[in-house]
Amino acid sequence: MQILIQQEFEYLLTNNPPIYTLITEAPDNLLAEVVIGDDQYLQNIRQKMGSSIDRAHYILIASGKEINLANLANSPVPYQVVSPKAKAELEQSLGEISAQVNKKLQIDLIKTEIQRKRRELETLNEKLNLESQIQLQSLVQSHSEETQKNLKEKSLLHFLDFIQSESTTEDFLSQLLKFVWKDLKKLGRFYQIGFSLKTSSEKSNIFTYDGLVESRALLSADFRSPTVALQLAGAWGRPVGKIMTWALPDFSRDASVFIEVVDQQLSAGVIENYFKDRLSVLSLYLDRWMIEKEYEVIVERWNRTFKSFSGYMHVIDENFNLFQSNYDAPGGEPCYKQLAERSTPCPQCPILQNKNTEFFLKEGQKVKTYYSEFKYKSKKFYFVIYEDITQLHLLQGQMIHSEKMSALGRLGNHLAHELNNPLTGIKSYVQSLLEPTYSLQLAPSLQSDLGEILKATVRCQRIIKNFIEFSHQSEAKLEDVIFSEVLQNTLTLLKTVLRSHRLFIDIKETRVRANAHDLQQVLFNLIKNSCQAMTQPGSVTIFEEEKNGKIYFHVKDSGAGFDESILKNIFQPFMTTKKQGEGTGLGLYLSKKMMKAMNADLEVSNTPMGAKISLVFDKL
Amino acid sequence: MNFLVADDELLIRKSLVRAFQSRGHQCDEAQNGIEALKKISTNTYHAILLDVIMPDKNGYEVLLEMKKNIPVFIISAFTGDDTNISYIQNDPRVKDYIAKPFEHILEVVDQVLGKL
Ligand SMILES: [Mg+2]
Repeated sequence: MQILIQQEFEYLLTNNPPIYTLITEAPDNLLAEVVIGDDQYLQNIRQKMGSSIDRAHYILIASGKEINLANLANSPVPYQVVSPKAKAELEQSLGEISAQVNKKLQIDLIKTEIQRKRRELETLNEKLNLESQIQLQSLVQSHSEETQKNLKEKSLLHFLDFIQSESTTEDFLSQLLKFVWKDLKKLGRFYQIGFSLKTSSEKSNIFTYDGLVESRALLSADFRSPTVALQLAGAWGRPVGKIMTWALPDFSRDASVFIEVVDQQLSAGVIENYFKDRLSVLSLYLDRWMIEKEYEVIVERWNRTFKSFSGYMHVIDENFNLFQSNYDAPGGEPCYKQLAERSTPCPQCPILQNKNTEFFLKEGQKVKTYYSEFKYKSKKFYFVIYEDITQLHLLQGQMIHSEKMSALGRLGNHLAHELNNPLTGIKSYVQSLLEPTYSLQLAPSLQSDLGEILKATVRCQRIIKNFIEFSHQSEAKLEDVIFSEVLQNTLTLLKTVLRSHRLFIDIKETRVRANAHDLQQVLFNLIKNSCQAMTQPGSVTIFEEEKNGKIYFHVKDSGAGFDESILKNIFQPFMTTKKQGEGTGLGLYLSKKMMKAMNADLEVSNTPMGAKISLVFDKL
Repeated sequence: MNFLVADDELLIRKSLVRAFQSRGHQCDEAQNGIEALKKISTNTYHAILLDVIMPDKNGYEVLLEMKKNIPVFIISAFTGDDTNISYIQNDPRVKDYIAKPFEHILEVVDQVLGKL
């Protein structure tokens, strides 16, 4: 404790034990706890030190009446008055003050301590605050990351869900386009999205969607090429933005998904990220869908082809059991039962014969068979086609029959005329014998015998006449027919012979007067001849010409043409260019005869390219 | 009158000879084209009855090679196979066609005599 004391009163203090420091000279800034002096001194100190000394205890040393109260009137602090003789009282007061000061000092100390602690606490709090804020922030951040991840997973799940449920629908491709478009739209701006699927040709099927319009185009653009945008611009006829392409992995053909971006708002990285998880799934499902779709088309086409075939078509297993047929038939039944009404396989079955065969399935139905073998699920199957050649067979038979009949007819005709000659002789001679100038010389019995002979010759002549008339009788009934129709009907029967040749037809819907059946026989014969005349694959050309009021239908082949030596006798019977056994050589003769019977004609000539046979009709 | 009948059928020749004789005329016979041409060149006939289908030169060949201007009557079956009929038609010596088989032999003779 510091005491500032007026020198005259120093004696009052013993400071034993020393509890205070005595200062007599007042420095400029002294922090004394106690100031001791007379009223004048105290006033001076206060004037000198100002308010800095206000807090000190003032002890006024005064002996009664001599205190100038005016000096102390304005003192802001209380002061204690001690008589200059009361030494003990002063000591006591100082002790009290000292205790007081000490106490105050202690309080200050504690106060400071408290303040310090509080400050520490505050710092700590601040620190904690900061820490928690950081923690919170990271917490918040991690939460948003989680959400984003969740969203991503959700979107992926949504995608997978969609692709699984929709991949079997009819319009999966279009739905997929729209789905991906919607997804990508959330990630940024772009113009359109599309799929490119390469076809079997060099072109690609392009499916696009721009948020409004779906379109499909077949064009040639190589999506692996860096100039694909240019190619597309050419094809679409408009400027094309940046094309970003991702090839569909493990696709059965060249396929890719592409995005057209105009102002580069959607970065490749973002889409890359999007497709990263989806491309292989998308590819897988789209491929499956495409294959299924194509499979359906193929199956449909196959079924249609299968059903449309005019003959019979079978798929049978090793035991001849029907697996598939182009007509309504209960499956599982053996083909021979179904088709031939047999209880055992047909002896001429191509499978048993190991070759394509021709045989009668049943009476009145002749078929030509073609077969092939294939394995399915490690079981053997056969594909058998039965082409109905009954008609062909009939026509061929008719042709042969009419050739035979014609030969027989000619023979008969010849025979009849030959017989007529001697018969005329006999009849005439009998007539001359029965002339009255002679007959009168003859015996009556001989006369009647001659009469019988005459009757017999007359009867013979009548028989011959009837025969000749009969052989001329088979004249065809004529009607207006459309030549091209008859030709078409004939060509269906000539498929086999025409197989190795090309056929060109250039005729109009011209009507001619003919007998359809006979005309068909003639055409059948002529076209067959033409085909057989060509030893190597060639062409048969059938064309129409109008000349001098007549209609000419020319049948031209690319063979060697007719031998000039036989050309003038070509219409004679038994004239043939074919090998022995192939025909009787009556074909052209008969054809000409049939044409004549229809008031039409047949002409043959050689052209630089081959033989030409012309059917000549009057123009209607 | 004197006639020649050229036909490869014996009984036709014989019946014609008898028929002409019964009408009071003479009739020679030839059984093929060569014999007919020989007889035509050596004898004189008022008319010739000529068959078409004959061995050793047929009726057309006879007509072609015959130089004499004698009326000719064609006796034939005319089956329609004869492609040289136009040649016969264009020969002015051919007076008529008589189709075989004859109805009656005397009608044939009368037809010939009527055209002379
Ligand atoms: Mg004769």
